[in-house]
Amino acid sequence: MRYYVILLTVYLGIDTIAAWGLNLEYGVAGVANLGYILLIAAGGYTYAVLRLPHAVNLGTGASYIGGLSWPGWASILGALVIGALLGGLLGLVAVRRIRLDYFALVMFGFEILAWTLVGAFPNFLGGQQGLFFISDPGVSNASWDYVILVAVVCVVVWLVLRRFSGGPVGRTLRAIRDAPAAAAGLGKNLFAWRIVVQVVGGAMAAVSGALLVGFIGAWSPPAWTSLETLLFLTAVIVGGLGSDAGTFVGTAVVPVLIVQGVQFLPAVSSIPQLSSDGTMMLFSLATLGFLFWRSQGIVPERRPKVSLANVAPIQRTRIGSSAPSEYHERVNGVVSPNSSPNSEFDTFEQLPRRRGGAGPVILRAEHVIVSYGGVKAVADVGFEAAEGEVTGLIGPNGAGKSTLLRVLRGTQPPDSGRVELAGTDLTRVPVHRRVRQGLVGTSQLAEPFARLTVIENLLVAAQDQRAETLRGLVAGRPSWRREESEFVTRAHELLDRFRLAGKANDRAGTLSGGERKMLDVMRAFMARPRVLLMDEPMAGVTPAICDRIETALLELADTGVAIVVVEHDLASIGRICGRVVVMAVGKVIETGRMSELRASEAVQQAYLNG
Amino acid sequence: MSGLMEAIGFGLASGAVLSIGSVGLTVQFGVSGVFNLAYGSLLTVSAFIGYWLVEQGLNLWVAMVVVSVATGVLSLMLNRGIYVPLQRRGASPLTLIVATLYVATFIQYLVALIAGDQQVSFALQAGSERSFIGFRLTTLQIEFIALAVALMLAFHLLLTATKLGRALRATAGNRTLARACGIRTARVVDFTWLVTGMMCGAAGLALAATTVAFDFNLGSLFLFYMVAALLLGGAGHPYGAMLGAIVIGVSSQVAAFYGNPQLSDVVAFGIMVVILLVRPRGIFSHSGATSGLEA
Amino acid sequence: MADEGCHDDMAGEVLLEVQSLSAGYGNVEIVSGVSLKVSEGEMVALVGPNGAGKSTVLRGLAGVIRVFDGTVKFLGKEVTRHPLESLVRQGIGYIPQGDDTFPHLTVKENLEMGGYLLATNERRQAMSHVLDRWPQLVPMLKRRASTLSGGQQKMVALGRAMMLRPRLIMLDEPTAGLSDELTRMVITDIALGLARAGTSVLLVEQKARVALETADRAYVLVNGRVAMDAPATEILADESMAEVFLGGRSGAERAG
Repeated sequence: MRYYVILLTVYLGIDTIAAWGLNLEYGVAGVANLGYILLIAAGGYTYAVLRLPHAVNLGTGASYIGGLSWPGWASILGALVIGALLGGLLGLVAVRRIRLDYFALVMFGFEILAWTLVGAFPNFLGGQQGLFFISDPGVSNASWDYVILVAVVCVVVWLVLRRFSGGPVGRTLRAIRDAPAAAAGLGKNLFAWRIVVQVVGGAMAAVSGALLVGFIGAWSPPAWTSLETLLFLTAVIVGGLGSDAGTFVGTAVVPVLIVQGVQFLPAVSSIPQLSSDGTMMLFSLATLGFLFWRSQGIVPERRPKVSLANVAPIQRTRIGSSAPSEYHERVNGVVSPNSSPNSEFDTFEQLPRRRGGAGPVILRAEHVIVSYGGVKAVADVGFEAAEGEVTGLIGPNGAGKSTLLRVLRGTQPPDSGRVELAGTDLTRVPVHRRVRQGLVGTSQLAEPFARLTVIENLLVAAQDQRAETLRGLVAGRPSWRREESEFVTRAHELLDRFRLAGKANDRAGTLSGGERKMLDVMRAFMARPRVLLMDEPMAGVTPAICDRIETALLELADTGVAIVVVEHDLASIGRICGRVVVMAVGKVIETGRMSELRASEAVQQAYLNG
Repeated sequence: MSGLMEAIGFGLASGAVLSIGSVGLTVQFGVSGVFNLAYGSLLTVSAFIGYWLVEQGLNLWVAMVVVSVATGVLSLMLNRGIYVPLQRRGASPLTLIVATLYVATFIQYLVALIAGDQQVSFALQAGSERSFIGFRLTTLQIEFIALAVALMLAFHLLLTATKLGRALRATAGNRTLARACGIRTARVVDFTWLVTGMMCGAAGLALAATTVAFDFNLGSLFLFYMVAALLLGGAGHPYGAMLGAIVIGVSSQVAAFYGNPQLSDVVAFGIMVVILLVRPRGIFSHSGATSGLEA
Repeated sequence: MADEGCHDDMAGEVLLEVQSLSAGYGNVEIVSGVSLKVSEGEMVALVGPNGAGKSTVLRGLAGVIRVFDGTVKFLGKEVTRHPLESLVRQGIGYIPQGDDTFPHLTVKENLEMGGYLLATNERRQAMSHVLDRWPQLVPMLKRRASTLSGGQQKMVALGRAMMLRPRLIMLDEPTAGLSDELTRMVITDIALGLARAGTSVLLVEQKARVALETADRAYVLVNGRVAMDAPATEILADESMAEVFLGGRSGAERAG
């Protein structure tokens, strides 16, 4: 009985470590690794090889001579390193250009391949027979000491895990999971983060494998079939994808209570068929049931409530509400002499104020050509945007304006041409690095990070987060607490001005279409752009929301930001834009103020003739 | 040398069985867009039903018809009962793959529970061995090669010369446009799951009858051979899958001939992983699926 | 509506009658309260600025997106929310925007696909009718649709839809990406030709001028609602049109 309790507790700890790693990869970062057991196996084999003496008689007449006789703690650490390396390597090979459903299959394939290979070569890692007579790591595996060892490792792993699944980094990873393209558009390096997650997840898997092998003293392919991955996946899905606590609960329920526990129930275990096969069927059914009816799991992923209460008091500002006619005057060059300071926002205070006119050109594109299947969507176009001005980019459907905007953002590589920001060539620079240089864009889709709260969506967008650096990861919360509270303050100001403060802690997935548009705009503001590129910010929004977005864009421009707006709603363009560029059939046909363009014969022809 | 020719002959025989299965799998994916990992488990089901029927004294070919129909119906129910509702609930392609994996596991262990986990083997007369141009094949193997050729021809005729085949190609190519031609695409998808399930059934019984012995793991291993053949030919391309099956069948048998018998698995899985890595885009992408049922 | 009877003489029975249709994607309503009518032998254009919801109306009618509210009647029979394939069987042809041919099939196969519902000899007949109407298709019968030019593909798409000889054909921006010359050909020759030969046409068109010059009647859609409903020539002559398209005041007011 005592042994039984020890066994269950140790398994719970070991399985929890592995399940946490898988949850980090799949639940938090959205990368389904169907070959996860491979990393556990690698940890197990590494521990075995490091721990085994140089020559050990395996009893069957064969002997294993690869052992290194390392001490127990070093063997576990060695497993950790190998797991991290292997995780990173597999990630590097597979995550790079591959879609995620595809990655799942690649990893599944890797696992099957490795399993077959290891089994096929008896002289390498013991083949199908595997390795045995592996000593415990210096802590007796039949005593409570092992429970303590596992518990201590669990606590350490938990502390490390929280650095990644909690705090700003956890937020960033979840943002990448919910809407990868939008996250990249806010400066997140998807590839780097996914590799980081594979490394951490791999290390956790390997430690779990090492502790397991130290406990049972043997390791062979039948112990790490692809079914084992499924078991952990079930624990994560049933427990609650993305929730560390849920994963623990899931592990307690699925691999430990059901799979291990069932074997100790006399009634069931007397029929071996029922116990093993019935268990597999039960957990398959359970998982499918959860996928159908409760995809959030037993303990759904929780997001922190952010309140202003624990944030330094700020200068709360009046919600911008100047009348549209005022913008019109300003746009048309009439600066209202008495612009009240109230209509300014702390958010933009660090930037030089510029009123009622365009500054120097900051964004410039030259000779841009993009063709799709032989048709030139953008045919040798030049474009520039000046600081402190809202530049409109309009034209009938198929004119190439969205394509041009994507070239400026970096989501569409041009066939030829050049894009530069403040004199620096950006043509070959990827999206996330453009964002860090201040070139921020929104897409037509306005994808929210659905399972994050509204305010978290904004916090993700803050640039240069110390929490996301290696130092921040090591030092933890003290190193980023201050910047975080600044971000929260800024986010609240934005929410206030867009009148969404009441929804700050709602899940972004629950927002309406118009609110999503505003969220998208706010996220871009939060990134403190020098140049803001907006693809149809007014599409499908009500006049009231349209008004809020227009006000905000004008005030942002007043702080010296260059804004480019592609928009179908030409009335809106007329209200906010200084210079307007008209494109048709891939070329710029006219440039001027909206009021002039309305009278232009060429523009009318372009719009009516398409 | 004669050993090599024998291995190639064996490869052709196993490639023939493989082609029946992988063409079904690729068509299923091409038309419905679901990458169904439970396909291998259905194959196991058909192997055991077939085994049981033959044990009862039924003629192998009659059993094959019965098994095919049963597996086809099961396959149809799987799509209607689980995958379509999941898709309707907005499951992502990733979630869907995960779900098919669990369906696969459930079926596999249901088979284990009912049939036991013992290895079983057909007490069939494999027929006399014949040898020609260095090949040495049993009558049964030759019959299955003939079956595969006949099925592939039938499938080719279905695709190119029948109304249903046109509907299949249209649905795989562009579902909205197919509907604009008056095609009831929901029924076409049903038909696809039925027919590909039947092919899965035929492949399962053929595989079981030509294997020395098998257990409830039969299909989960063979699934990767089928996936490898499918990927080699390009997902959604039936003629490609036929070719891929022959390549995988022959190369894995030749590998087994030159080394450890388990090397055949390594070769098949190796090919799969390499293709996945070398052609990281397109195969599973939407455009890959909409390329339809083309050679 | 000023009805001068200008189309009474050529328009017969009402084919399609739509009342206060609301449609969109997921939970988002893009168009609401759209009512329109198409009579036999009539060519009706649905125009409006970018993003007004013209294609959404057509997709709602075609049963490929969500219809929230409203009724659609075809030949007096209610067909609201009928799936596309059932509408096609009742005599409505539909050409979606963008991918409107099967690129990997030959022209002949594309046409045969259009005649999917027909028996072999009927299909042969229908094919020769289509080829009589558009003899330009004959020399390209064996070519894959993906190898054709944009204008040729459009003709294939129309030929495909005409295989079933629908009473009404719905065209979703058939001229997107075509040159002015081809645009004129598709709209004035092909579409109007169809209408005059007895197949009514409901045309969603971005290129408003040519559509208005050709169509019998037109609806102007702004912000998901019908802003104008009049004989096409009247709309064309209306000086506020330019403002509707270029986002001036009056357009917004008319849109409500």
